[in-house]
Amino acid sequence: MTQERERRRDDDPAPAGSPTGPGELDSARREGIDLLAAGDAAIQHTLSGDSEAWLRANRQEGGQ
Amino acid sequence: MTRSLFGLESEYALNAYDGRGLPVARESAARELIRLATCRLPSLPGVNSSGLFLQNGSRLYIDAGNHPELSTPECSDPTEIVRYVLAGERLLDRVTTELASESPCIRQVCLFSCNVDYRSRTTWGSHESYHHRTDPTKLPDQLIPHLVSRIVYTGAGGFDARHPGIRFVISPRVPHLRRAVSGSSTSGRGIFHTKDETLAARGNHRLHLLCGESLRSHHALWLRVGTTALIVALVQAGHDPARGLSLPLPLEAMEVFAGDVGCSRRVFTRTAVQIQRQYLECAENHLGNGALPAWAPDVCRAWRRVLDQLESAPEELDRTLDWRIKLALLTDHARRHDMTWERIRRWNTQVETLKRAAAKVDLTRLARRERRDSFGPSGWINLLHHRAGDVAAHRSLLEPQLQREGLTWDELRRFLRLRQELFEIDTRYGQLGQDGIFTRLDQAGVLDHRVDGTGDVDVETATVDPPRNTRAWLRGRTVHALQGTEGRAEWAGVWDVARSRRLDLSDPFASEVDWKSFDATEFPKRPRSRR
Repeated sequence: MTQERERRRDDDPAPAGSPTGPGELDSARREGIDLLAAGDAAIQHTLSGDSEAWLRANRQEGGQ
Repeated sequence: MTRSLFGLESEYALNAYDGRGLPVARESAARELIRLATCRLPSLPGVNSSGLFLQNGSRLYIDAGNHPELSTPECSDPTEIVRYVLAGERLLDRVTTELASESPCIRQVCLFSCNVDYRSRTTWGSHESYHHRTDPTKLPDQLIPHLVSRIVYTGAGGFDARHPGIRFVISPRVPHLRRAVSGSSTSGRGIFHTKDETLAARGNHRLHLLCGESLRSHHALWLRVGTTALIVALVQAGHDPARGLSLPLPLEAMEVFAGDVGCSRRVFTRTAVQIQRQYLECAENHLGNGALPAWAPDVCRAWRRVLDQLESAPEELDRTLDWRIKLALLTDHARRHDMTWERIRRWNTQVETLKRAAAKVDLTRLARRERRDSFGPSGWINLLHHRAGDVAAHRSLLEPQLQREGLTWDELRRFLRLRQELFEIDTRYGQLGQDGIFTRLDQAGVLDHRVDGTGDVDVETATVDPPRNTRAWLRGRTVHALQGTEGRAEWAGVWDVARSRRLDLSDPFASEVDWKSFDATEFPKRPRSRR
């Protein structure tokens, strides 16, 4: 949650970009791996298999 | 304490399919959607404008290109904006789900929260409106450097639709902007729009912005509206947040920033993040002195945090900002196809050369054979196998260059196929409902983008109740009371036709009911429902 997250980070004495501990690095790495795994699963679930045909069939007209 | 008021328009790409999976004419699907919404959602039709004003204060209508569009009610807090965008999408989802189950000719309806079509190379908007009481001519100079540089956190991420290869940009709407300031929203589209519609009276003005994009990240949307509203408030209070930030070529600066995923390129000595820092510091300097609204400290904290992260640890935003999420996913997808951005950059150069060569060849015959109006990957590949004319000559000229770059013709086929897949992924990212890529990531719990006050109950409440601190409350409650009558509505009023009276909402912060009489005989009759 945005505001809670910002308050929590304000309490963090380490400025942005400062070295982080090994635990935090592991956590960030794990989050990155999870994102890509979930992303690949979502893409595989969603992609039509023939993107060119899909884009052609779903062509939109412009607006504002 | 300054009061803020703002609203957001979200335009959705629409596709509908029949029972055989064939596309249904978009115009017909859009008409059916509005017909069903008229039956299901407590609402009143507009007086001068098309579509419906809903009981939660928002407006639903069909815009150019047969795109359903939702305008939020007038909100006073950026959290409300997020809440009402989500509420509008929830209402749209209910209507389209029912449409697919009850219509004899529609079996599936898909809506996409995106702003660019890569096939037609067109764009549509997610416009913003901000109330202010200052001289409108002061705003372009104060706001344009902000609008040019805020894309580092408000960009939707995507591709330059004009590029023949694969060019990722932070903000895919930027290549469609034509000038810094414009009076039109469809031709010569500008960063800054000078339309100052009289949606309110007595010195109230509406700032209308065209350059923004539909976002899925709640945090990015919250920041987009929050930071921009703070700058409008600073200007209204007589401050000069853009002092020394003048950009002689703002459109060119925006294109530079849009193409700079490292957020490190400078335009006239400053990066986009550095421009943003000046605005932020101006806002921070005026916290607590009455110039800014109560939510300003929260926005400033988040604003500083995101700028720090963009400069020092941008990967921390890979789960938060749309363009960072997309960049991570698209990079990974390309890697799974043995394509790095470096290799894509090399192919872009070759494809640009081929495109120039192709422009010299008569493509009419090829296009006829392809039975299509423009060239996709198969068109390009056929072109390369076309042995006559300039293309063959360029192909033989290009071969030594390809060898030097370590590229092969066979790889071109994969490159062009990947290009189409990446375009589909970008479009599907913003698909509403369970099949949308962003939705699936969110449900998997791998994102960090949510905003306090936009939980399930908050959003459900917002499908019915208008925001309380603006005229939207009176309009929404009156719409609710008059639903099913001959009543009509607009942003600045509601017409109770049966009693020949009009609720005056010309004050954007109106909180007291103020009925005025009008001559009902001059009032246009409500169109009859088709049902």
